[in-house]
Amino acid sequence: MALMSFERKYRVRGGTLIGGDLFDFWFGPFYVGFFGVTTIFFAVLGTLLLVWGAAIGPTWNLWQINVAPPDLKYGLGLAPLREGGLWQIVTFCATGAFGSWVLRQAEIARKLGMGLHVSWAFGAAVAAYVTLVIIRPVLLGAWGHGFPYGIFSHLDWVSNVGYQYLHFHYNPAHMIAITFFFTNCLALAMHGSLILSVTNPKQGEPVKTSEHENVFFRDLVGYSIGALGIHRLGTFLAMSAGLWSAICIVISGPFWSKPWPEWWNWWLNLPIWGK
Amino acid sequence: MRAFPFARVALLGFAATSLAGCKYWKSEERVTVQTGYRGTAMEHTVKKSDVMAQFAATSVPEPVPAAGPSPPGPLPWKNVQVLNDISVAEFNRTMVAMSTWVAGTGNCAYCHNVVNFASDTANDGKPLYTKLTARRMLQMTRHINGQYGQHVANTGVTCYTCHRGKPVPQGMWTFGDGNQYQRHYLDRDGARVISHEMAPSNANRSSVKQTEWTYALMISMSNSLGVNCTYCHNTRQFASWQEAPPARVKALHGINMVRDVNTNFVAPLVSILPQVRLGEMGDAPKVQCQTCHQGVYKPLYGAKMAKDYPAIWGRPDWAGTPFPGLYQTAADSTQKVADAAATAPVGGR
Amino acid sequence: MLEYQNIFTRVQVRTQPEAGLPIPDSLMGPGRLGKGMFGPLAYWAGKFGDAQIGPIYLGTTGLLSLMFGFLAFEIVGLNMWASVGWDPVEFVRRLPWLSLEPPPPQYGLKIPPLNQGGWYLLAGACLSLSIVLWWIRTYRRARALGMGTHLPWAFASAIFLFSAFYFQPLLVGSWSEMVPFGIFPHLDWTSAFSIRYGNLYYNPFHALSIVFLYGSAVLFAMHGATILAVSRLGGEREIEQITDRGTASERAALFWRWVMGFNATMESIHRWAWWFAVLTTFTGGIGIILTGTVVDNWYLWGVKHGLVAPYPAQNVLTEEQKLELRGRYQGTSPDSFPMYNVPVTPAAPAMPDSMLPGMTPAPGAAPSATPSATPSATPPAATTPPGGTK
Repeated sequence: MALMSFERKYRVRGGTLIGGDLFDFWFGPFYVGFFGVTTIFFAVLGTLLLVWGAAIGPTWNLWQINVAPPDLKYGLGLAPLREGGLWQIVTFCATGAFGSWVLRQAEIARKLGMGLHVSWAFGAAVAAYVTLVIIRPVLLGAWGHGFPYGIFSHLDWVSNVGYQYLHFHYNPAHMIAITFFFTNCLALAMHGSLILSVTNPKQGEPVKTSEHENVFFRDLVGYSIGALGIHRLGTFLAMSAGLWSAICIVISGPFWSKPWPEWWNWWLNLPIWGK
Repeated sequence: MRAFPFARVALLGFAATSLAGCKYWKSEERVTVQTGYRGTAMEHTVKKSDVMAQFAATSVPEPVPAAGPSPPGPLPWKNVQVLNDISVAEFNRTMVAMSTWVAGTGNCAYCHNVVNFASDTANDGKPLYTKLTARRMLQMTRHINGQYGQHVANTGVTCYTCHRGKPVPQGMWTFGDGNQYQRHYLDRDGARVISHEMAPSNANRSSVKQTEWTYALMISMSNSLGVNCTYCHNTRQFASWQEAPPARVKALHGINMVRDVNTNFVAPLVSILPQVRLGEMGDAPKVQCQTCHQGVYKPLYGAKMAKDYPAIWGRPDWAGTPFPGLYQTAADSTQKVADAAATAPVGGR
Repeated sequence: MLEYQNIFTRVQVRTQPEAGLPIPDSLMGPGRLGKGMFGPLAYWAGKFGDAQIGPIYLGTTGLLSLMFGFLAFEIVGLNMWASVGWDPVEFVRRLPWLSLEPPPPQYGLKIPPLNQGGWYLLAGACLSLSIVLWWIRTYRRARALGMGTHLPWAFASAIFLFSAFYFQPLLVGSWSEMVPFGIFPHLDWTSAFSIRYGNLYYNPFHALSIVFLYGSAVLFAMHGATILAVSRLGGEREIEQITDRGTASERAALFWRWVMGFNATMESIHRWAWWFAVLTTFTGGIGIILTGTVVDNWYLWGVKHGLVAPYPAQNVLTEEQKLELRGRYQGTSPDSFPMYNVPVTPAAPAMPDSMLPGMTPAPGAAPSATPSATPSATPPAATTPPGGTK
């Protein structure tokens, strides 16, 4: 299969977490590994179940397909397949697939002598998903609290969960998460721009140096975080966005069930204002 | 220099937070009621202990003992203008009930000139604004129970529903600077800001600012009923009736009822209310959803008070029980008392 | 797993601060200020990033940008303070709720009096000028160092989104559509905007923008983590890795190739990054400009284009009910609110004679229909409606 020009020397055995040499091989460009097998199993099963869910639904329109969780009355039990049971199994498969993906990334990193940072970073996203469909429903006592699997139907869920609290923008953890998302977007734009502007300079100029990187940002805002720092910052911003999103939704319901604007009354009623 | 054990500290911190969080959460504490199709998240989550406390704090007065035998025929008293179609005993028990429901004192002097019960003025000649108001309120209560069955059903309202033992109900509103959205409860038509067509047109010229006011109105309604937006709406399209739970239709009748009450009964009271009862702009206090509901989805949690008081039914029958009084008026009972026609100025304008 | 993860710097190096590369002088401004330093703050910065603070360049455009920006900030802040009667305690207490509001709807696109949106327009103009001047600054700094102008063009995409919030009101014909200044008020505007235009989740450009926003988070998590994972091999020295591929780039590329079957290069990942971040604001701006101008209800647009998932109907209405429920819009005529008409129920009983003569049953003492100065309706602030509730 098509290898990159420098790839062969890196294809060595080792780095696996489970299974030893049994699944330590490649399928084309893809590394398999034990967790590659589990990923394929969960992903294929889950996808086929979603297709089945579309088949028993009213439409094949990609935007309208909807596999919905069970009614709340089923609590934390297993619902009939056509009444939300499918959703439950798909969720189990998704969790299995995402978890396998994280561990497969760890195996590949170990094989390449790299740090495990990517597994941790993706783990933050997986944690957000698990919070939404497992942790929060369990805390509220029913699987029906998870979001439906459908492109536009999941947005209806988001809208209604938001308006359950009358004005979800007032959720302080939501504010923090949004700030992290927007700051991450800014930082990514700045970092991408900086590298490209240094390696694709003005017509006729040679490729610039890391000095130019630093001087540009010092001139512009008085501080340059540096080549290593920007990657620490980016990882931090992106992971924080995911983690604070998980926090903002897990507190809505299990820990706070009043309208979110009301939460700010603690500030308005502080005794220091002398009111 | 030893490395700072970040991982260990982080793990400890996470464990500590989780344990602390456990104190704030118990599995049976949160109850959720579903109001829409599964997966749409149209539901209401409450903290059970909050609801239990609110329920315990709601008291419904015991009904006054039923009316016993009465002399037949119309009432023997003068200047009875609204309740002249019920028996003597029914009349008396209604008055007793009102003295606790509204005056809160249990005695008659809050509304009546006890020297001359029929009179509409006090001994010093000033008009008894409380009695005049109460008379109009009786008409209003009958109007609500009679004409707005689509909202109040067979639960109905009594004076207690709003007054709760106080002369001035909680949750009334007056004109002010920061609450212009409440004009929707009076004379501002059309809180509707969402287009019914895809393309812009002159049919809907609402602005984002007007939308904010509608939003404020809806939030005040949510707080008044202790429910969230999904109780009445599927928020993916607020304007849609097909997607809305049936509660929205009921709410529309409620809004119509509030406007009717404000426009025709409550706001006109400005002419007889004293200054101390008026708002900062000199207008009479008006009702809104909060006035009856007081933070609960059904006033008094749906306790059926009205069925015990035919005087305020405004209907020929209540859930099968026919109205006991006689629709009979005698010239005697509507005769005006002489001094009520005196042109004393209205108190405190 | 007790190995160093390169999250925080353990040993900070101190030598001479870097004074920076030579650049042409400034016309109006002081030019490059200082030589850089390692102050007390720098130690903490140094645990995560570079330890040096400064120097900074302050040229003509930068100076003017800061001045206009400061002016805008002051206009907003002082108006907020005025709105609480210049009470310093209330100012701090209610700061998140305070606002400087755009002109009310009745002014259309005319210039209103200062206290009815005039200050808002002034603040907005100063802020916009400040931002444009700052853009020029980014361009000139890049050019002075002979670098490419990728950053200014990325910034231009963000400015495009910012300007969309100006152009949309212009196209719709009313300043009142603009976003108020204020922490919570601008969030109230966001909700109101979505409600007014039929649920922005169904706006395809809004959806695209979110895809790119979340995608940016995914990308920076991936890229940041990857570089940290190969930082032991000098992976963060990206320029060198681009021009002369080392084992860091090779392993990073292979990691992703083995994980997902394809990969970027050390340079091209930054192109992925640039486009995802830039497209976030660019598609978002398009989505805003199309709202209210081309589409007035995005949900209905979604219905028309087959996006809307069908749910079982909650309410089945008769034709008669649909007619009764049709109702009217607010603001049907340009400057009036239609008066309410009693609905079709039996008329309310007449006022009894006991009410004193001279009294009419009309609604009492209503103030004028136009909103008061600087409409201060802050909708969802607290549980009870503000003003006049007994």
